[in-house]
Amino acid sequence: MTSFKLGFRLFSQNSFINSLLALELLLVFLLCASLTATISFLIQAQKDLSPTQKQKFVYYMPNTNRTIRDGNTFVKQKDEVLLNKYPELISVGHAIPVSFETDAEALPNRFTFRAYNTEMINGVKTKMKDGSWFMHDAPEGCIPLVVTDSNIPVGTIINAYNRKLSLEISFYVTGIAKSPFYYYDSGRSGDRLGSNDILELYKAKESSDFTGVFNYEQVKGFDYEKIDMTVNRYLYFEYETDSDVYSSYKEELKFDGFIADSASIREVDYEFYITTLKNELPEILCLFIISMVGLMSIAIMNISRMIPTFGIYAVCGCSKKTNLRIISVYLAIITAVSLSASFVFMILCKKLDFEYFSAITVSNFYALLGLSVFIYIVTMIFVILRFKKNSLRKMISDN
Amino acid sequence: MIKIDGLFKTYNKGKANQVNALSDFNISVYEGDFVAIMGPSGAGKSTLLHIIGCVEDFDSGDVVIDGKKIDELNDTELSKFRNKTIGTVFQDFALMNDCTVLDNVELPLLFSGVKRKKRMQLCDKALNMVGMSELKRRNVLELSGGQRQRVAIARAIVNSPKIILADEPTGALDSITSKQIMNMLKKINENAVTVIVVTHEREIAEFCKRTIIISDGKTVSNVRA
Ligand SMILES: Nc1ncnc2c1ncn2[C@@H]1O[C@H](COP(=O)(O)OP(=O)(O)O)[C@@H](O)[C@H]1O
Ligand SMILES: [Mg+2]
Repeated sequence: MTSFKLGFRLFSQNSFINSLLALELLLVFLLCASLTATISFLIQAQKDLSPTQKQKFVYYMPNTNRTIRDGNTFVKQKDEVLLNKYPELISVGHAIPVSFETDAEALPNRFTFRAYNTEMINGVKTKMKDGSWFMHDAPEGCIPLVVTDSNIPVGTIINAYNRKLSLEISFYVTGIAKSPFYYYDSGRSGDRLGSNDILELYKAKESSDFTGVFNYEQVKGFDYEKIDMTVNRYLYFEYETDSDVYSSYKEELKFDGFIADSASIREVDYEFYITTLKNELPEILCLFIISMVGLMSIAIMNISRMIPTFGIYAVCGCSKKTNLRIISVYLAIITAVSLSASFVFMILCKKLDFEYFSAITVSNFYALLGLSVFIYIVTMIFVILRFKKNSLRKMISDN
Repeated sequence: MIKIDGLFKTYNKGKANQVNALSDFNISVYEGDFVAIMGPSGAGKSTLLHIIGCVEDFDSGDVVIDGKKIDELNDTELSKFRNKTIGTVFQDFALMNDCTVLDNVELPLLFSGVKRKKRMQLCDKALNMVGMSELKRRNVLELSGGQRQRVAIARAIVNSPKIILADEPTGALDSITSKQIMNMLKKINENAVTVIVVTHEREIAEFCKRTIIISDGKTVSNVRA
């Protein structure tokens, strides 16, 4: 009872400094949480790219004259040339990002749809949440469209236009793809060609990430040669990627500048994640150590300030055990304050849809508890050492 | 009540700034005694009081207080001893500055587990005795030196200890306030409480039953008034 009373008094007496301490705890917690969120995102992204089925396809032909990491230069080749060179090849898939604008209220003003050719449409199988991937049943004058997970229902008609290409299309939503949705796209990251360039992970979440897929061959006047620069080609084989035929072509394809199958892309990608992590790990560790040291010094400075008070308590008949109990209560209050503050913060983030902190979930509270235990241990060790080292008279004369 | 034999206390032992604060110091104080301890500055008066008050350890010697050898007590026993047997008034008061008078005075009662109602009664009694009951809700920082001195005394007496130790309780006060404080200690002594006062003023010492003069950490004379 006495411990509670005095522990609470320690907190309330200097509520400003104590709130600062709680805030610092919260900040360090957020920092740690966002770091773990980053790492877990990388790991999750890696997991999402793990193989699900054997492929019969996927060679990616990037834009003209691009150099990849091993120094090879890609030279764009016509579909006919490819078909001649690789007799086992049965088709060439196209995937072209096309940006559109719309006046529809439920949609962002601008978004990018993927224009696939029929080979591509048939080659890619995506799990559906609603409707169908095969887009036959659109009303007269409408182009079937599969959108990513969004609040647009099947049957919606979207009027979209692209001024540069003089395209004006009425899309009819025939299906909604399940999230995560992998779409085929050209890379944004310059010369690095990883699986992000070919199998871009799409997580339907932000409305700006809204995307859709349609068959450009169904659009009259869609001149794909006109935007050929951005066409990505996918070669389809009769044979799966673990077959001997595939293996015999592998080197030649590579020499021609095609990216390998998704298994080897994944390897490249994995390397990328590891190097990214390796590059960022020192930074992460530094931040972590700095914040830990900061937290530790704040905790120690804070408790040093109170040493005379503990001395006075002792003079008045408080045993060391009771003193430590009082400090425990005091620290528990700080923890409770920062826990509730972070709870409020989390709710706010959820309400405001603040993406950066969306990774902070209830489980991250364990991290905060861990930090509190850390502060508790540091403070206790410090106090116990002070109790050991100095006589009571010394403790109170610091007053 | 207090029996000290061959007490040695050295600060900064083995270092260049070593100080022998007390060497082979002896003193006996009887129950109900009212002792003034006098001596020049640096003689070891405060050190002695701190050792008796169990807030400072010592190197060697026998210190027996209320029948207990204090160097044989563990932390819990020592705390209880400080709580129930001894009330110390420090030279610099040792009050919690950002708290109220009441917060300070009730501390010893809190640690001996006295219930709230009883605690308030006892605090009122002690504060009445030092004439501070009007100001019990005041913050210590708002008080004058004399008032703080009274609060420190109230805290020392609130748990009815057998021994009161006061280190220069009038050091920073004018002569009228000093006399009031000494009269207060005298009244406390009349209730069979042993009182030891450190001072360097002769008039203050005259309030006491006897005076012990120490110099260079040794008892020089033991005068019965
Ligand atoms: N904490 C300390 N560290 C080192 N020396 C001390 C300490 N406290 C007191 N002293 C020294 O011990 C001697 C006795 O001090 P003290 O008991 O305070 O004397 P008094 O109260 O009689 O003036 C002095 O020489 C003083 O400098
Ligand atoms: Mg002194």
